[in-house]
Amino acid sequence: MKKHYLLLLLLSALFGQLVAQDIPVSGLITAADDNSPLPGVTVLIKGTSQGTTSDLNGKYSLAAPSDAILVFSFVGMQTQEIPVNNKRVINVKLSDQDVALGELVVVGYSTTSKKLISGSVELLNEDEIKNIPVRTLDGVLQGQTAGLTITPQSGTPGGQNMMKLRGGSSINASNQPLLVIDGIPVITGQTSQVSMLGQELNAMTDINPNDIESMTILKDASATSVYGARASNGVILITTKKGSRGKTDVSLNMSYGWQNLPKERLIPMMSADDWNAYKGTNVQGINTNWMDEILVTAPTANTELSVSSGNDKFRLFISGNYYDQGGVVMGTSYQRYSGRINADYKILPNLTVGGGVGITYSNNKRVEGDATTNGPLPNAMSIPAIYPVFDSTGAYDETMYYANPVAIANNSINRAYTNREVGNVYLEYKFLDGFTFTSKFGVDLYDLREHSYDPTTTRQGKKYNGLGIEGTNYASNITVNNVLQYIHTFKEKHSIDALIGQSYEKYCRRTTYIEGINFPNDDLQYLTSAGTIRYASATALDRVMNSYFAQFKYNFKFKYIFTITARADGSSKFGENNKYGYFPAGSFAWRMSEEPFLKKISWINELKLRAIYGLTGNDGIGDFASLGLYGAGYNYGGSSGIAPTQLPNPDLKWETTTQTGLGFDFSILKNRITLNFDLYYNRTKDLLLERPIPSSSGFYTISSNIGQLENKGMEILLNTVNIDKAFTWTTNFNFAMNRNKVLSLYEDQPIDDQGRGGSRVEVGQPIGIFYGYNCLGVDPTTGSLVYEDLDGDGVITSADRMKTGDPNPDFTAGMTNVFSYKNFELSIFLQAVYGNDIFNGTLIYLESGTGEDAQTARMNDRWKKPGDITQFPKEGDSYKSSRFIEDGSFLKVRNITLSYTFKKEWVKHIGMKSAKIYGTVQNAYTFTNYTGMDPEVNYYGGSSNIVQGTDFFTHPQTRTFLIGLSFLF
Amino acid sequence: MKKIVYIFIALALTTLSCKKMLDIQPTDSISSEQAINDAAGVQKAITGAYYSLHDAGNYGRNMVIVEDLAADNLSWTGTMRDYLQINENLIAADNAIIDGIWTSNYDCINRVNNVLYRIDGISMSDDNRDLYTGDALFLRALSHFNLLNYFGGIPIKTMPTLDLSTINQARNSVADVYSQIIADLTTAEQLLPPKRPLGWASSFSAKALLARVYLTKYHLTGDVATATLAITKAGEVIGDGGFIMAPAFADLYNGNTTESIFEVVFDAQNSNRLAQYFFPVSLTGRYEVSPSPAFVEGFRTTDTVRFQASIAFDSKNLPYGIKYKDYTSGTDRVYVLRLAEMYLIRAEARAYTNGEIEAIRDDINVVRTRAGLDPTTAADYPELKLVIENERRHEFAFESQRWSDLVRTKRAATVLGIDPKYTLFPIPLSELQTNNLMTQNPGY
Repeated sequence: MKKHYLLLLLLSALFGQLVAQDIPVSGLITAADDNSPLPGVTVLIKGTSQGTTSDLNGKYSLAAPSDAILVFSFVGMQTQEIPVNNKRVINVKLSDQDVALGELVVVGYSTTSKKLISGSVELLNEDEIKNIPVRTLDGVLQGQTAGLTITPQSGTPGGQNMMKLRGGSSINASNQPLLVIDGIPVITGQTSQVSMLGQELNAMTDINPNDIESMTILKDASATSVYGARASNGVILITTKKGSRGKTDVSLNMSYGWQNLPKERLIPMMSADDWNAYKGTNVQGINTNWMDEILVTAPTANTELSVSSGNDKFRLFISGNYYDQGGVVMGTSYQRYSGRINADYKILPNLTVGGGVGITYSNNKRVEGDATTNGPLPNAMSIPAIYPVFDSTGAYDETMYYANPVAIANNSINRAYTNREVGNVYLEYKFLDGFTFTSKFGVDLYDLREHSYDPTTTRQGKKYNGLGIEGTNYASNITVNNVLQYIHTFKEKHSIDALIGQSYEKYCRRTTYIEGINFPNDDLQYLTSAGTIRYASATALDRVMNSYFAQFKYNFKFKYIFTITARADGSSKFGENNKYGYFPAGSFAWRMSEEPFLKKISWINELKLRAIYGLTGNDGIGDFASLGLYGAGYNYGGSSGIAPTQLPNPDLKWETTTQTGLGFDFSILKNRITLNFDLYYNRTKDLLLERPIPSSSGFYTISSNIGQLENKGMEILLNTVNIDKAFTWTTNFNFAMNRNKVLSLYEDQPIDDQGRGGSRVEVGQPIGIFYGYNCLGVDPTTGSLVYEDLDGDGVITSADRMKTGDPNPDFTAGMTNVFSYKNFELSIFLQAVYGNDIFNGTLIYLESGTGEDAQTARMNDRWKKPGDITQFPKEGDSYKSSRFIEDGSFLKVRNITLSYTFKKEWVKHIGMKSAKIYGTVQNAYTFTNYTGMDPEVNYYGGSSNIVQGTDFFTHPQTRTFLIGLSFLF
Repeated sequence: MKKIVYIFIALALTTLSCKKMLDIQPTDSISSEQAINDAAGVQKAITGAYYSLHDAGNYGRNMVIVEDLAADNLSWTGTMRDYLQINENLIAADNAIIDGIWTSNYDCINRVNNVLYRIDGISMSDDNRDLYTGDALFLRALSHFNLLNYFGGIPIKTMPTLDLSTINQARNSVADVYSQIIADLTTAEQLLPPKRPLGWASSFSAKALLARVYLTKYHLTGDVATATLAITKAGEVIGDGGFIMAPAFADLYNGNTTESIFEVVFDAQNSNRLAQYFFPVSLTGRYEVSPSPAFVEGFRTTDTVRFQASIAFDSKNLPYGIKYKDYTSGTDRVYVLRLAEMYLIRAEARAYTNGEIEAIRDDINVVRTRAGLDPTTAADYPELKLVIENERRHEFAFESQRWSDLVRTKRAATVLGIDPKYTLFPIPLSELQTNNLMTQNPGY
């Protein structure tokens, strides 16, 4: 009887549903390529927001009207629409989207298929990042992409790099690309207050590269103009890892290594005997190699653990990282502890909430750097071998001109502690047919605390009876984005992808800085014990940006692709008369390979022609640069005072770069050879110029929009599979040329004599040429340096200067070759820069022939008596001349990695999915004619882009040997 | 669940509603309009003008060092190679030290011009108005005079720079610059009170500076009336100022205040680094400059009292200047005008205009006696002139006087062996490249 009741109930239920015309539909969703079940696929009743998702086994069931159309969609797969037609079971096979349209790429505020991109966009995915042993973000990017140059300011742990895309669009404003993590622009640049001169901090080092799923580098206006006034230098979009669906992966990576300064790169110096002969001193029994005294072999270690898991509704990614990089100069190191949680949850089939947060704590032990007489490295290079480290009493010897570097390295305390939290929460709501509304809220909190103390056992500390500094920097950037997107394909031909959005950002920064002297005891190193507070300040800065943007993409049969983008940016930085800037861009791509006449040719897989035109902006000017201001702190005789600090310029605005680009993507022989080729011409106008004005006005400069410059260039990316048998060999090659030229300046007045090497900006020349005296050599009769008297007036004056060099390279290139056989893999990464000049400012002192500075061994060949023919003078002078200009071209064997992946059968028994062991040499060897320690360094001469290619006792990059293990459970 | 969506949308839209959100004002600065609009603002702006005397390009360092380095009292023994050029009197137009002197003095001028431009529109007591106007005119005259001495006829600035319309300005003649300086000081002399705290200008500071200005102008023009004015002004300061010669020479560098007519004061927060630049490496100094051997030789045995207060030797027997001692905090005062100079100005003005020999000797001997030396017995003008020159060299060693002495008396070529055209420094390259009405001094 019970059965009958049940049957009756069931029938009545069925009857009820028949009235509503709903029937139960169920089925299995599998991947077309390997028939594996697909969990988490969205199944929607077309035209409604009702639906479900498939379960862990790929099964789904729902009630749907018998005449409905079901829409099956999944990220990375082609969406399918299937009419119910009274069927109760509908099994579906979904194909990978990239079969048709290539892998998905995150672009500004949306995701798109690689093949439908009409601009210049470069992608670096997880696999490529994973194979680079460098554990900082900018280190990962170095040499990997065409057109993005990354020059280390210094090889010190956690040190800053100078990034520049396509030659740099600006002279005085920032050239730093905009960095966006999971849709949230983050704080970059240097905020350290304790002056480290050349060893500044870098906010980018706080991000663990292992958390990155992909990096997209947006290079031209078609891709970047959706970021408007901050897009001129390109945009780097970072997407962090999400949890996996239906499985749990635990990944553990460990590496350990050693770093040193390549011995062959150190500059040979005079021995004590040489010095005695040179100076007429007579010091016996001492021959100190000061570099040996301060250089150490430094360990480095990295441990990363991550868990990725999830089901059809919930996904979770958790990671932790400990990174420890010792410094090769005694007293330096960098430690980073970081963690990340990313989670998302599908509340309804069409409603997802999610978020992520990355937390970092880092501890940077530093020493003073380049342009200081208190840095271990410059001091070690500058002290002659005749001085001992310790005097006869066992105390640090301080009788030499420069402070004892060993004392500084051992005793000076200099710490920077960073707390960094970058997080976001979002909601994604799909409605009607094809509409998605996304709202995202993000924060970036960057707290930096600096503590420094020079005890009386150092010369600096002794001078002040102890010198202590405390600095704090609290910066936050809060972002709100709202985006409405509509995607639809009409008649299976016309595809539309349109979005409009709004974004609001508020940046706040608060700093304090206190400096005290006269400490009673070296154990009391905090300022509460200071006898005298010498300097104290606290500052506040707020900045707001409010923006609206829209993008419309259309393609016809995936063949003709049009993109139009526009953004309006309002910024509190801009002058009264120009609060909002507008940045439109358009692009067109033609996938010729879709045309019938090319489809016939089977060896051509892809041929796409691209053209772009658009405007982008650069708002990297100082805050309040448009206002006429008085500053405080001009105190005298116990009274507080004020003084004018800035002239007003109410018209001040962003720089505008007009970008024009042409390119093609070509892929043949089953994609074994792919070639991307780009040509571009970028012209920047309204250059933000700290225009020098006569200082007889009481001001040095005024911020103004004057001047134009251009960058034109070519980029090639060539990826080939050379051998694809049991032995495989692949090559990734990138090549970039850029030509930079200043087109106009205010009344074409040059910006002259910047930095140590006489860098200059002049119309008709690239930014930052070296401009100085032309040294003709050493006069054999007097031993003095002779300079060319260009104007022939008999005396050497500033009018006798000329262009002596150009720090901009003719081309840059990178090449990675990967060889693999069975379970072995060998990867070799080479990087080359060609045709750039370096001003070797170190030699101003080390080949001066005068004073107390240690001299290079080459100075043993100096002029000694009339008739000597030599290039080294009896005594140098302070002219910034061609004498110090050297060719900075180099070829670096950046990385060699040999790895062995254990056989799956072996590791399966101990519960592992995979296991790998590898050994790496980073910066293995440098081929160069440059006589300084490293051709790849740049003295940090301030925030300007003008001072490039200047070496001044700069910390070279280190050579690193690493062994590592990675496991996947 | 729709609620969540609505909440999000509502939150999102709140960010749109705020109209004035782009209007953010700085917190560390104030706008020019707000800066000087009452008596307190004027007082702060005057203080800010005095502050420029602290600059490294001013009495805070380089105007002190350059005077003796370009002349023969100091030699370069450090690392800053721009000092080497000055030491060798082969100065390039891009020399940063010279650029700093130019810039700092014009900074001061612009600051006071801002006050003078606005003060008429601000209500305040007559006493305050006189005081601030007097301060402004004194500082403007001092800066113009320093520029004139180092660079020749320079642009006279009497209006503040408010925008770009006035930044290009041609040189004025030397005579015009003198007229402006004398006019400013003559007014300041009337407006300033006779007594001020140390570091602030009094009516006697203005008179004392006028004495120096007249003396310098006399050497240029040979006009005896101008020399007489120098004698008069120096006499007023000596007779009416209430200043007293410090009992012992060394007292001047150990806190004596009775002789100071005008000085620049420093404190731990606003310090100079003079002691650090003078002190030898063995005493943690930079030793950028040190007393030149010839100077030490001629000084050490003939003038012990002043020598011992001026120069010491370290453990390696290296000589170093000790008039600035506070290498830790850098709070040493820098004299601009003190009483001894007034006696020597009066003596020099008389010696060059055939004045009464006895009176000249008396003035010289005030200074010599204090230094523990026998009275001078020089009996003719050429001899007296040399005695005065040497007195000044020893009395004011490292006090920003020597170069100006030799240039003023046209003795630089003889004493230093330099081409007379190099008695003017080059106009800084930065000025020359941006001010399209500027011209370079000969020889650069």
